[in-house]
Amino acid sequence: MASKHKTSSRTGNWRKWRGVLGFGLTGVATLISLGALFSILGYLIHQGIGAINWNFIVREPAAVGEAGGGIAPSLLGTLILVSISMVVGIPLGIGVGIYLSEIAGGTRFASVARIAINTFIGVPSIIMGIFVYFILVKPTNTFSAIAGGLALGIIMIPIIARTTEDVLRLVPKSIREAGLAIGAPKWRVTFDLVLPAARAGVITGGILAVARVAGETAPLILTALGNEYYPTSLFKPIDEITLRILKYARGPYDVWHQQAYGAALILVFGVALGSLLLRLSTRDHDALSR
Amino acid sequence: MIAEAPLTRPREKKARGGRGDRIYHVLIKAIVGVVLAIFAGVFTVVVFGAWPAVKRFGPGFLIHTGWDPVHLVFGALPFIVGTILVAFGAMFLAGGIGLMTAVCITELLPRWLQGPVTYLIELLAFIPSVVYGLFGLLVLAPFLQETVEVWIMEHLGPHFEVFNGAPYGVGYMSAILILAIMLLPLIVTLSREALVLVPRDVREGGYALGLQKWDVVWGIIVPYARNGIVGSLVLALGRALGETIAVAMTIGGGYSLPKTVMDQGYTLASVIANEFNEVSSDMYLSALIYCGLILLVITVVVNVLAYFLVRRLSGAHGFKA
Repeated sequence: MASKHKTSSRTGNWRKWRGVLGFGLTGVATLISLGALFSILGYLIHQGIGAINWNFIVREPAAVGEAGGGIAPSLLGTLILVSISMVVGIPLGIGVGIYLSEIAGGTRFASVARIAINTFIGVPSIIMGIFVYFILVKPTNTFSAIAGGLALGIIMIPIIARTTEDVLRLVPKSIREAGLAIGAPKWRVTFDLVLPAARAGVITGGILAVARVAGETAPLILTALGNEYYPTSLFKPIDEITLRILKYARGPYDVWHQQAYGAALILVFGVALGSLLLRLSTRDHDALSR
Repeated sequence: MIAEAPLTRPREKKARGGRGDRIYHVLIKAIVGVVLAIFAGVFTVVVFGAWPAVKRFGPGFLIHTGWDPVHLVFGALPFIVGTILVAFGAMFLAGGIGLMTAVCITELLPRWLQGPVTYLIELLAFIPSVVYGLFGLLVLAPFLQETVEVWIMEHLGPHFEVFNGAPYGVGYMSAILILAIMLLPLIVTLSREALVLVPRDVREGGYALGLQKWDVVWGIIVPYARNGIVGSLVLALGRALGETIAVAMTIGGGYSLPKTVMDQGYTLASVIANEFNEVSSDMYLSALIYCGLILLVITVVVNVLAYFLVRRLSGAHGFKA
């Protein structure tokens, strides 16, 4: 009897230590995860802050390897490319979202469309670059802002479509029924009742998609190519901030490396600011969906 | 779930909103048609672009080694192997650390810390991949080259062939580590959601049996949430297979099969990104697009699998990718 008791206390001890060890490991893992974040952000700020000044934002790049100069053409190019992508991606994405939530229901075609959307979210962005290269760059014989924007826009479509469908589905059925009950046509119900009710969520999805494509690089190598000068035409190669980071990171000069950190800091800061605004503007929506 | 109510309006009112609704339906369906046409176009164009290489090299492209643009000899086996090694390596690494982190957040941290820690890790998802590439190329790779890789070469190299490489810095090891960091937020967020969704009763049942906290967590809660966890791993795998620029910047570039963890190489996506602007012939371009076609097929298969897996495991609402 006594020996049995002893054994169970020993296993109890082992169990306790196993718990300490197990939870200790999870703590180490968490520290590793947070450490990765802080070392990347810390390095970015430490190295990048010195590169950022007024000239960096308003000047063209300096001659190869020389100090000074800025990334103004890249910033302008980013704005142009993102604008083009929004023209392509937002109407098409929201349209598909409306279709899936408001019109399609459970038809076979709807489930095919839904699978297509979910599959395309996972297709690597460089594939979209290949697509646009063959339908636009090769026929016109030039890399261009239009091609870059189109590639980014196509990447946006499935992201916006899915978030739109998700948030429209959160709108209570009673709102639609109330609209239909007073005799409003279905399109008025969608545009005057359902979409406004889901506004915050739709905007969230839009900002997420814009943030996502603003950080894209791979498809732009095949479509926008990059440029040292200010954009003069939508039908010529154009620079984007990620292409600039790529070029400077790979270059052999310390000045370039520092400017790459500076540009990366601006990019991360821009994306983080977007996500912060998004959190603040959609807090109510979040509270509802949880 | 609220009972499905019919959303069609009474027939006699059809006349009033009729034309507007017809236009609305046609417009929305046209948009869906355009989008599906674009998707179909993407497949068609990639197949079309790869066709010259498909015709010339056939399926042998998938199992041959050798990449010689001058003599137009191309085989994608090293890139396929590279893609699988890098993607699975990063997935397992991020899966282990990410799951442990999720367990720590939900089970160990006090409530007031859970939100901020989760938010910080989700911040990693907002860093664009070119910035990961920058960090990998300029910080991580030189660090590995001077410390870890030297140690591995000296101490493990003589005993294990797989560690017997030269410390280049950039290479498989850097690419896998950077990619693993990129996958962390996805895995932590999704497996945390799965862990949180485990019903209270299940946990309390474990305690009622007199189990210690760790045994409840590791023996009951994690297995209970395994569907969500596996779903997060498959989604992460899909991301990893297609990640392009961060890998292109850190893997170094090379055309032969990897022998050690420190070798340089390419994945299917990164070889396209790095070589595209240097193509010297149509066949070279077509061979790169053939790599893209293989990548497209692999990622579509993985994503369709993930879609059905996640949907089957979660029901219509619980868990969102």
